[in-house]
Amino acid sequence: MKLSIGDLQRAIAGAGTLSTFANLYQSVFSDCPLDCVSRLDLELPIPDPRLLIRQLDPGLAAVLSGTGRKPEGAIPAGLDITLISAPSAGQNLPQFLAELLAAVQPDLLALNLAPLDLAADLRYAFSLPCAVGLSFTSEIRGIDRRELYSRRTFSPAGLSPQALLQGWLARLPVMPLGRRPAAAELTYVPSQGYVDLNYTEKVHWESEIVSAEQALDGLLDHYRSASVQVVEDISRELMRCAGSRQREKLVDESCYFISRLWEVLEYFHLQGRLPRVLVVSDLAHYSDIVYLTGLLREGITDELYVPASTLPDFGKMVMDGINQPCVPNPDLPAEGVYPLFGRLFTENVEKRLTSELTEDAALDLAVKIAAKTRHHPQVQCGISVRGSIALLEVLRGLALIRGRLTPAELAAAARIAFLPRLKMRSGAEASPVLEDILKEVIFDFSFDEDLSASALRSINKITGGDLMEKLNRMGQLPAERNQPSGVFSPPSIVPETSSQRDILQQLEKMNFLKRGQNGQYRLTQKALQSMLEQLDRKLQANEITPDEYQRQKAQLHAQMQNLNRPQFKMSSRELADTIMELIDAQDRQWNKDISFQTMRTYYHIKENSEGASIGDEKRDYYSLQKLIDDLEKRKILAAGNTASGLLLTGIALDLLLKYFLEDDRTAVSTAALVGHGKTFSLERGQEVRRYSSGDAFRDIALRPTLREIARQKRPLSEIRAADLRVFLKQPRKPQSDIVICMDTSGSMGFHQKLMYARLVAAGLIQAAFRERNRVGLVAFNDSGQISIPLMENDKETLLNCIAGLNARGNTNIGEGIKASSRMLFQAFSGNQKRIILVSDGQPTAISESAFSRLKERREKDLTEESAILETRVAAGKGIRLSVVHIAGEGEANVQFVRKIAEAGKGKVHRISGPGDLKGLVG
Amino acid sequence: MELREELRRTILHKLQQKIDPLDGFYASPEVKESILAVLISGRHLLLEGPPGTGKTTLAKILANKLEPMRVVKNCRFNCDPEAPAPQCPDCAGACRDLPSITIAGHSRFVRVQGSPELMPEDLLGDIDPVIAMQSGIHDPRAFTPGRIQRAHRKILFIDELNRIPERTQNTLIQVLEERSTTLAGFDIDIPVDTVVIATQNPQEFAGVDRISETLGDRFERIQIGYPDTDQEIAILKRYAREYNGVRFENELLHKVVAISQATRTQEDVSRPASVRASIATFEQAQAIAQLEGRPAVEIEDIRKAALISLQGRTELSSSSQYYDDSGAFFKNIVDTHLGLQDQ
Repeated sequence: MKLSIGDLQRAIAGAGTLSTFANLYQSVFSDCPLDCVSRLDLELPIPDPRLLIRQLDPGLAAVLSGTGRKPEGAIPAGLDITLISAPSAGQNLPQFLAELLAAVQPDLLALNLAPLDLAADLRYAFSLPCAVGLSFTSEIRGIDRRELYSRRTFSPAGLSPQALLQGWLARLPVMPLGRRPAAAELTYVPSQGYVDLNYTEKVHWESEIVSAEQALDGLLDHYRSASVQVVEDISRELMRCAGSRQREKLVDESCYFISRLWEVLEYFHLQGRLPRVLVVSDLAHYSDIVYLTGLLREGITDELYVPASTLPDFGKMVMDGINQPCVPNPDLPAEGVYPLFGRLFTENVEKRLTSELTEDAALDLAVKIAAKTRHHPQVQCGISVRGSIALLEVLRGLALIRGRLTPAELAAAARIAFLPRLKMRSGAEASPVLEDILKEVIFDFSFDEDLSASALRSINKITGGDLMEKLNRMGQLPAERNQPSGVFSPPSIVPETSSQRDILQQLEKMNFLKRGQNGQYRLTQKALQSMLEQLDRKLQANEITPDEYQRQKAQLHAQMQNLNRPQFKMSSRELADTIMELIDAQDRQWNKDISFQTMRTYYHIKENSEGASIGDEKRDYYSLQKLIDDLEKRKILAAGNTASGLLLTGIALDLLLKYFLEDDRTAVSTAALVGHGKTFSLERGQEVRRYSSGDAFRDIALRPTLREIARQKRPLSEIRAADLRVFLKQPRKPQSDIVICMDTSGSMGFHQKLMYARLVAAGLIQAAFRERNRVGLVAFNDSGQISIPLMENDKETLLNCIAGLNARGNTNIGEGIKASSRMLFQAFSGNQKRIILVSDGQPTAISESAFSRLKERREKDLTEESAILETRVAAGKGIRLSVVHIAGEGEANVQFVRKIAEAGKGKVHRISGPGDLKGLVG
Repeated sequence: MELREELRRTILHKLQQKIDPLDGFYASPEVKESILAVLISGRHLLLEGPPGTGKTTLAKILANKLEPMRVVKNCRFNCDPEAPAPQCPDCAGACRDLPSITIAGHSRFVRVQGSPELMPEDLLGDIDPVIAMQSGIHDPRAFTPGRIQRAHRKILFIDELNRIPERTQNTLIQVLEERSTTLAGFDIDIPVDTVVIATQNPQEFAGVDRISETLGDRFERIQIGYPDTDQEIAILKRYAREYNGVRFENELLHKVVAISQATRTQEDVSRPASVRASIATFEQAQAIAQLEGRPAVEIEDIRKAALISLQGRTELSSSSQYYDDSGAFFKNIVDTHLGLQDQ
């Protein structure tokens, strides 16, 4: 199993940002594909203490986050405080404390030790109104080549890394209220490396803990038979073992702890409640805390109070442990955090991998793995049921060979049975995806299904009936006062917080809202309709007065009328001009979507700086807004990548092309570039048909004829003309697979070259579909490619993609051609294969692998050389390449274009203006 | 006993005796284990790998492991004399005591060579026009069984599955899942108890078709790569012919293998030397030495033999800068690994 040590290390060390499923997955599986995790972008309900704080009532939260003030007076009389001291390393401690919690039933739990050791047993403690804990950090230092895990300021010694691991796995939260401990003063001691001299007693301390542990474990049995009263005994016993250590620092820390407890108690007191408190303290602080609590009860508080220090990263995370990296120790090169965690983690992984599975458990896991493959975003076609059966049978075989059945065998069997069956989306590889899924299932790193399910449910709960309330509660229901008089402004809602955004997105999915420009949401007709119905219901239930009803109804009706207002009238010429302006604006933005704001700026610049005359409807604020709304409604613009952005659609290209070609739709033909030639011929297929007079004797199919007679159960002598079967002949179809390979580098952004490229591509796609070819698209620059696989007739997807392209980056024609020919090569069809390169013929980039291959060559321009080379490779596989050369004004690299077309055994077509578009006639 | 059960018992028996059931097939332990796991589980196996990696050898080894079996004499469907299939046209209605013959284990192996010309009738059988004329068209004996029916109680080995046209591939689907076939025109279901072992070349190779998803789903696909140096030497020692009276130094044997291995790691080479190329070099070097009447093979012999055997077996990728001069490229590799030329 290739789960690396780094996996968990990353998760723990990088714990600071573990607030969502997504970043947990990312930190555990660093190479996990992004689109896989983005679906898991839910907040983690337990691990983040901030979430806990948020769920408390605001007053208490304020107290806990250190914004409280000094309480007045003593702890009110009658308060029930149970104090218990415990070393955190006792084996039975979690269980002991869980029993204690059940016995004492406190309202408040105050912990003065790292709660990690308490692990999952204590989890329900956090359903208490409040848990007070002190911050803890831990460090690992090597002494005498031994890894020693020691405590820092507040946490007791013996906080084992195992506990840290468990704590993480159990995702135990803590609200750190303490001060961050000052950085240790490390001194270099030749024989020991870097050592904090304050900790010289460490070895002594450790032995004490061992004896305390033994004492505790012994007493626990006694405790179980006795009553809670024994608690004091245990504490006393433990104190005796640990000895008293009245150090100045410990008193300070205890004071700090008591001050926080005091603030919390004060808060409860002011609320008129007297909580029952269970204080769990570590050995070192115990006697101080007992003493200080006594002082507090007596009201002697002058010296006691220590103000809370507000930490900048207050409440940050469960694990604060190894954020401070280990000091590099020259004597111990490979020791420190990593080997220790590594070993522990490997042990943990090994344990899970080698634990025996029952057949039922294996079946469960196998089904889970199969289910996950079916929902993985990178998998096109998941594992079939037959695949799951195969897995189980192979697993049985493997178990027989190896003589054991553990998760390791399951993983091996999954690799045999599942890996070849996974059908991936283009560009994705099956092996890493399967490994990820195996890790997820076998190591169970994913969270409680209940948790994520409930998180999902809370989002999905909105129904149509809730709509009014939801919108009302947001206080964003559009009101009349927002409308400038005389001008129509549709009702719109702008989300402010993420939770509101969730709700709005949910509503959008239910067609109640529609996202418009500037991130605004607008009510749809369906929403208005349902709001009207609701209004009626309210009137019937006498919840509102008839006057109010009439007013609101009129308002809703007005809004509905506005929604159905007539469309903007435009001539085809104006429309074409507008689309060209939009394309221009989109290209000038380089990589952003257009929006109302950018269009307004664009027209402003155009009018004032470039002296162009623009129509009134584009100058006026509201009419421009209306115009853009209208274009969106006509699907010329569609919502883009960003919240407020809009992108041109394929329909826009279609309209523009129609305008340029004066509706002569047959003008563009792929024949000029693709050239099927006259290769019509008849092909004898496998299919047969009935004989009809005039068929040649040589075409009679003997076996199918005999079979037909046998089927009719007649003797052979009674053969009739109707029994004869003749081989079908079909004309060979001159179909082609065409990949349009579009250059979207920065240079295409000038002189409207990208616009012409778009139009050429759109024209070619339409022509190609008309001629029943399959078309794919590759758009490239140096940083990446967009590709759409070969399609039979999905014009819309292709055109939309082309309209949304933008020009930036360098030109790596070689890679573009490589991707195109890969797409064609993987099509597995007998069709002719063609690449049409749409480019300005100025390669400026080369991929690293191509460079390393070519660098020894003599040619000066390796970028051109790599492009020609890829073309030649493609040509070797029977893929031809033609070039549509988008030549701007004057500049042209004609020679290269001619060379590449020659290598691709294709043709060159030059486009330098709208007139040339018509020239693509075959 | 079903064939897959038989195969499974044989393999487990060998494993218990600590004998390698795939003795004679050289691949990494993981690949071998995977193959065994698939066979024990009784599923059909699809071996994927470049030509010359021992896929056919593996299938033959497995057939060799099977016990001899008794079949009904003159039964073209290999019926078991103990329990002839009731639907079998050849044994139809016959009582239990049919004359029987014994078929040796290594003959329990039916081979189908995949090619674009392979027709469904080749696999499924069809009416034989001549017998149909003689004995009447409704006599099931007029039906000539195809390879699939002949593979009843045998291993069905299909070489180069992905060169078979999809139409013909589809005929396999029934037999793979239901373990029976329907005789065309007679509506008779004949049981076909077989384990299919198929091979295919990776899809990058020219002239291959894709196998359909439905068919692929019925196979367990296992990738086989080229053997490593030690395995390849073992293959040479085991399978290549050794000429009497010609000595082949062990050191030189290493060099023969090193040349082939080198072509597999070069990026410029699109079709590297297969194990067959090593065997050819090995045999030809001995032949050259014998021709010249020398008692031992010398480096020069290997050089000549390697250049002959690499030619036509290897190909440079079209993106290589040596594309136009592949002869010199391979000469360079051979000379380098024979120590005749520095790197």
